[in-house]
Amino acid sequence: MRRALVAGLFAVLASACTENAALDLDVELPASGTPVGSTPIRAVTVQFAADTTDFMSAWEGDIPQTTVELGATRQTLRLSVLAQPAQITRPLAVRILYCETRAACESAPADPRTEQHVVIPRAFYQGVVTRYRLDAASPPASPPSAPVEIDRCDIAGCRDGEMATWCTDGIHLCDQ
Amino acid sequence: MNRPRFRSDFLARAALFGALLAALWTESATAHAQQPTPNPASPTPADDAAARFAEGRAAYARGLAAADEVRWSDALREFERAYELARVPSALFNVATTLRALGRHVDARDTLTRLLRDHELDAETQTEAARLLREESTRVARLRVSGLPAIERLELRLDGRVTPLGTERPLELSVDAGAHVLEATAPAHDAARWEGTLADGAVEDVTLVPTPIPVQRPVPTAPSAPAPRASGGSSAWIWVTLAVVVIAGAGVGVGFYLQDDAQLDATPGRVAVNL
Repeated sequence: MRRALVAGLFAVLASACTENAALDLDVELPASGTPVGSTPIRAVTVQFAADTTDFMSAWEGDIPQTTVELGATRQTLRLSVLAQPAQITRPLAVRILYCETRAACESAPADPRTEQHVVIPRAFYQGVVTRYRLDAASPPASPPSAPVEIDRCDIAGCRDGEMATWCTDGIHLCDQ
Repeated sequence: MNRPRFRSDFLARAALFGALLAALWTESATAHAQQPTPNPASPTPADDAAARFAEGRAAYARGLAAADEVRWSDALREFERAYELARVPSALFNVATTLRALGRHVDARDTLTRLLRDHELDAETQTEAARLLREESTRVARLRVSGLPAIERLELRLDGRVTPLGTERPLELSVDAGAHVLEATAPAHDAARWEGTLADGAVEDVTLVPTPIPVQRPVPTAPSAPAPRASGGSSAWIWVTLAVVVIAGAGVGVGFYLQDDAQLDATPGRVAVNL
């Protein structure tokens, strides 16, 4: 009884104090050699921004990003994107750079063959780990003119299992 | 015993097709040579193409030299480079035969399929490529995977690499002969695993069903007989209450102390990205 009381007390304190948020993002990547025009793609960089949704120019400065060399078959890049309290309600912009080599992806500025742009209007909820699978396995022939916008109701969270939507009456389960 | 046979096969084929491949290359080169003369003062797209072609031709020659010296990995790299730059079918044909020499029959099969699909070949090359394709197809082993349940975040890994699940069941995976490990994982499930060694052209049926991990529920305990009341019962209750208050107080204190550190971390096994 005493143990349960103390454990409960700690649990309540811990959850009440968690201020940040996380998005477990699975990014589906193409196989190495997937062509864009006549250029085979060998590496991909995934960049994130919570302070802009402007994809018209390259993002500069200390950009949260990760670069991977592609494998012989399609693979899944498994990321945990961590947001601080001020970033939780901001849109999350994701920029995927497809490069001929890893060096082209890692140079400053990067030299991608093409890009994919995605905006998630609401990806985070305080103290919650949300989930999303992003299909980036088919590089577009050229950078898109407008980003793909992910419906907030497609962001999984606050309930286990598989669901067609993560909203009820238009309100996300994590907001209820 | 396989490699010497590959070696002689490859060299014999090189001798057989040497003239043909050289001719193909020369033909392409002649076609190129007929393009307008580049102006060194202002490089044009045609200049770029000519430079790429020349670079491809040099890579092709290096590939032939490496194959002659049985340096298959070097040969493969050079032929791939040659094809990437010049897109001539002879380079892709040699990529396929080098993959075959390396025992990479799945890749060789796929390359020959691509060669026949993407290029218009003369009758002799077409016949030879089709024959090699049939030969390679019989050497590719297959895993037919059934039992995969439709659960969230199910992941299938073949030799450590994530494999697309597709929609067809049983899922058919092409592999080269040798030892392989296949594993199906999903959150809150015990992984299902298969390990085995396949011979050339073997077909293996594999059933993989990740098992749900049962939720641990508290086991109800039988009610114990009431303890005999101690003579000092009321004082025991006082001590218990006091202990609870002290522990709760300590908990609150530690909680406030840890307040700044109680943050979500990256999920284990994932790459952390801090915004």
